[in-house]
Amino acid sequence: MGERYTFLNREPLNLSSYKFLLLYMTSYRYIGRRVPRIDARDKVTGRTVYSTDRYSENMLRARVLRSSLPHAKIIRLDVSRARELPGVEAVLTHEDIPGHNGFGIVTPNWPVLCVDRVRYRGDALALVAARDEETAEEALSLIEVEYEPLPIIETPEEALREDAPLIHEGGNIQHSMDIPPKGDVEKGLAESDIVIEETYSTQFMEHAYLETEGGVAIYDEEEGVITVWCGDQYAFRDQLQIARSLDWDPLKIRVIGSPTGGAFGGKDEISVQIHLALLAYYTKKPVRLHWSREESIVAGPKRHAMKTTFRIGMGNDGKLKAIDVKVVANTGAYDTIAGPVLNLSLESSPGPYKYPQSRFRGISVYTNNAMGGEFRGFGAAQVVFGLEQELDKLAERLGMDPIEFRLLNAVEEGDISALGHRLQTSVGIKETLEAARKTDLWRDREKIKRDLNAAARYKKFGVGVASEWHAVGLGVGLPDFSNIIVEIHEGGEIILRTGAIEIGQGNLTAYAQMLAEALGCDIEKIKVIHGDTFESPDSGTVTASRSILINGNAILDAVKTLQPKLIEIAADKFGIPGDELEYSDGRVSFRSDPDRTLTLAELADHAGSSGVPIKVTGTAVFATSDKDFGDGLPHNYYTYITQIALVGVDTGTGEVEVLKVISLPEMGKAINVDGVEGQCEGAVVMGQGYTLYENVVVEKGEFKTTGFATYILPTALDVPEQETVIVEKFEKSGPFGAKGVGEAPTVPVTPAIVNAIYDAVRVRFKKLPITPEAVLEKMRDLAGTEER
Amino acid sequence: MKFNYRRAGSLKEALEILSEGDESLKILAGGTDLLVMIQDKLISPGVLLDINGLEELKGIEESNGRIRLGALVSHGQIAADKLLREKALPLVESCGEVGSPQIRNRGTIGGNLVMASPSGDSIPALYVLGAEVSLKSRDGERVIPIEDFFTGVKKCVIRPDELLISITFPALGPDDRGFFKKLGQRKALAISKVSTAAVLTLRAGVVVSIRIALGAVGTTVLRAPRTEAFLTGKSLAPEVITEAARLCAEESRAITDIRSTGAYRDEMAGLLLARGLEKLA
Amino acid sequence: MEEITVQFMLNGKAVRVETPPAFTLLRLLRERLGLTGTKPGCERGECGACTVLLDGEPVNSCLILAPQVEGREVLTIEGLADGDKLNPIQEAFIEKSAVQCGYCIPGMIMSATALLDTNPEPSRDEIKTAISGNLCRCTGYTKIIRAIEVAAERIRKR
Repeated sequence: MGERYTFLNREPLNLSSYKFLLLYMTSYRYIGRRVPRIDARDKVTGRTVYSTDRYSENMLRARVLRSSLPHAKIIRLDVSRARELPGVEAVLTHEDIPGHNGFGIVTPNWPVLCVDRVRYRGDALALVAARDEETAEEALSLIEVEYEPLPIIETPEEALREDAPLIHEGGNIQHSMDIPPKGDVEKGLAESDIVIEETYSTQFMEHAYLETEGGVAIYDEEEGVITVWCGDQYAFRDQLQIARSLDWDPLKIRVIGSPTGGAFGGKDEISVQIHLALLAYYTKKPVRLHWSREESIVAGPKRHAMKTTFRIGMGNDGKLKAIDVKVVANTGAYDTIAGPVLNLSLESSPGPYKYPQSRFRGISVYTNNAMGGEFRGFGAAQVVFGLEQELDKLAERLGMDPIEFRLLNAVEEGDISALGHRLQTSVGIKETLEAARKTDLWRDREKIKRDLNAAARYKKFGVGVASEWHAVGLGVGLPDFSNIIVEIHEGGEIILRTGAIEIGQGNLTAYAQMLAEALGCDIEKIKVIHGDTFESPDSGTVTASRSILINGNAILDAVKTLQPKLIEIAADKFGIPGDELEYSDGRVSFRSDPDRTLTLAELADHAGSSGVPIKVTGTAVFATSDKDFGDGLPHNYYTYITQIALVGVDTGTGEVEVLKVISLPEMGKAINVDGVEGQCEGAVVMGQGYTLYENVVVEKGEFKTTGFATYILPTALDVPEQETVIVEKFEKSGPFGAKGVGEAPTVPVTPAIVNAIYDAVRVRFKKLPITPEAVLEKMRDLAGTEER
Repeated sequence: MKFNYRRAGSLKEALEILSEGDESLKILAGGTDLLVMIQDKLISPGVLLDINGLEELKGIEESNGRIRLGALVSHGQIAADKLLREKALPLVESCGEVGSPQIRNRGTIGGNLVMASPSGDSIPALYVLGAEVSLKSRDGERVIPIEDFFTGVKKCVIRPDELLISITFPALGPDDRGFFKKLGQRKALAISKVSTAAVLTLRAGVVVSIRIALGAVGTTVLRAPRTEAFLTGKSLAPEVITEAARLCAEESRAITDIRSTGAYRDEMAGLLLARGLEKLA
Repeated sequence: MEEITVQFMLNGKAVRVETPPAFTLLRLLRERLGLTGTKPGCERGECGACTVLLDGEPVNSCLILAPQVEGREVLTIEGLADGDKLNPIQEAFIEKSAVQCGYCIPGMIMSATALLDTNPEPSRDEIKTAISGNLCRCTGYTKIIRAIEVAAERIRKR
């Protein structure tokens, strides 16, 4: 049994063994099935305790004083009156920060508490801890701040002007990337029969998780340990960031980040953690901080607003020849993870297609606008919105079917990518396109549209398609690893320890499935201990669609280490040599007498009684690309996906209704079918929101969007019917062949909708979100042009 | 939030308290607007007077062809009421789309009126139903036609010592038709960008009389008198409807804000009218 | 500010609890009664995460003041299961994988409970309307709607 998994993990396959495995794989007990989530029961009974559900006696309530202006010098900050208010136990300023006054996943220049300058409305100036919310609130109002306003920079264009005020001393360019060119793009364009050029712009987007940032901290003075519970994506990195700011031994900081009520990239960076740790340290009491919805919108990171210019050249034969992409990202006031986001947007911008020549350049620019940071999709949504429309335009120029055009240009395993690196892992873009072509919606789209148009008085219907490739993992040059601990306790309970946090994606269930399958035991016996820096090992962050692949591989590695140990224990118990025993399906048995077995429980009992409990650590490291362009570029694994959208456009109001979306992801192997569907379905609605409704409106640095009345999310009445067609293409270095799927489905749905709108009413959009007002205006312009 | 709480045991008691003139006292009915305003720090009352127990402010009745709604009747109760569906359809349609089920279960018709938001959905419906509003104070009572009730954005004629008791309007008759349509940014939990309500009497396909009211396109809800005059005496032929929509758009006075543009709203006011009329043609 | 006493029926039991008058029902449940299943998502009545049943009707508990539940009946997510026995809606949510991060789920289930109590055979549109005041960012609503359909079928069969 154990050998099967080594085979899956380590050795290159030839075709015949691949087919054998396909047959073999359909006999999985848990993998590829619809397995109910292991945390669902507690969630449907209200028993799950999120970090913001923790209350205790003598718990203080904290509030953060944030800037009143988008850009200003701080002339005076006086907290004395606030400190004197009865019931207030601490008011902290930058002077109270023992260590580094800054945080940031890549560059820690985002102030914990501002010293002499504020650069966006969400900047924090002071912290208050008081006996109740109302007192904390009142204390905030007693803090006196004198500002000297500075000019406000809203856009990268303003920031890049000669005379622009500097937001940071080093200048207003946060990051720039010029990927080593592939070939000669100008030559490629010059030799193209058709060249198109267009610029697209996208808006800031809000994560809008239902649980806002928040948590609790306590300081155990005796042990010297600070414990922080908070909504989170990477407890171990929080440990380091907290330690750096408090000048504390990181091993004496315990961070518990699981479970989290939604993250989508917004909780990978520090939010409340350092503030909580400081307050707990100074007050010596439990402290609770829970951001209001408005605070979450204003202070937290957003999906970057970006402007992307494409120049694409193609031959009359439909083959793409050259692509030149320029991205300008509005990154707001501080760095956080903006560099890697820009890099991934460049990497995503050509799509999963072949280009002999290419050039990708981008800059990320500081402004006093919303804070650009990590967001599901990580820079891809912004560029794919434009790319997949450009491809449709090119296909239309040649009268080619959009799917056929994409198939003609799609990459395959072993190809050199548009960036110049070899695609050495599974590539399933063609399979997803072929599967899309076979769907009823695509095949019968003309008839479907005709029927719908005939039945609807005011609407015109359209069908659109789009694809993307989405990087999995952090990329080359960045530490990208996992550790998993597996224990078997007396009585047979199996403990899986992972630092990974359950943010809603269902990864814990997938880990339990993989462990149960690899070990050959019942999934009910497995308990997952997660996201606690004292109780679980560092499994890396839950982001970049990485956690199935890397944690799955670490689990399999643990099982590989475990099996010989189990045999050893059995050998010890029976007093015989190990080679007379073998492990299979959760038992060790005698080779000579297979009915003589020891269960895991019996093995664990024996190990316990001999004083050496069963515990192993598995590890895994992401395999990386053959190239290195810096800062995580390029990646080595991709999820490939095609999506089809059916929309109805109300020709009188301009409203766009999305009736149906079909997602066809290729993510290697689906570990949990419900999980993959759930990710696709949620991602599609997120993409729908981005396309049609959502916009973080900031004017001169002031947030006009302050809550759910002004930040519009789709409700149950607004969302499409959905179908997910899982396309499997075994990835030999992934656990059971799996890659990842968390982000991909949120990206091409946008251009699929936009292409469908074009199919319906013949107008295109270079800007998001696409409001009814914009649709109507474009339709009018078109009618005006057609009349003339 | 920080305030004291009082509960009015009777209408008499409530009016007595209001006559004391405590400026920091605010009336708590459904709370769906009031509590949000307090959370947003737009107001900070010292005490809330809960009037939800006042029986005189409840109930939906018809007598002598006139319908009476107590001020505390909720949007949800209106949306579910069979009598109102039959005889006050525009109001049922408007209340049925307010917010969400949770909001409809709490928000009251009286609260909607006193909040006086130009995008309050029940208001255009009440305009076209020709409603009257009853206000009561300790020392007296007055009845105000709905079109005289509002004076501006979030402003109405209610005095600090008055309670809105009830709303009355004539029940729609067999020749009457009515509708309410709104456009929001999404299909639920949406503040109207624009709304159009109408009640018309049709005989032999001819418009005998018509009232049109437009919401969210002015500082108060607006009537559309020129459009009404144009439609009176005409049949609902396509070219008539088109011209009516055009006139209606002209009478709309919408502004641009975070939800939409003035030009779009004006045009949609007319479009919603057209769509409502097309259904009746 | 002086606290007041409120007496009401909570999940079938009579309770008596002290509270600041300005506490919302949401805060009362979470901070004075130890029931954190009901969640704060916006505190403006715009997301439905705080939905409970008040005399059988779904309401946003962030817009109800604690003193307003005097003498009334409140049902929260904690009041649905019978010991370890989950109700059909809860079972269906698990089985149909309608739960992801879980934060919107208590509110969703309360809205679904109110729906099925009054309308045992809801159409898909009626289901969508019933949860139109409950925002979810994880699931896209697809499996939630399916779970409620399945729960309705099962309740009808009983």
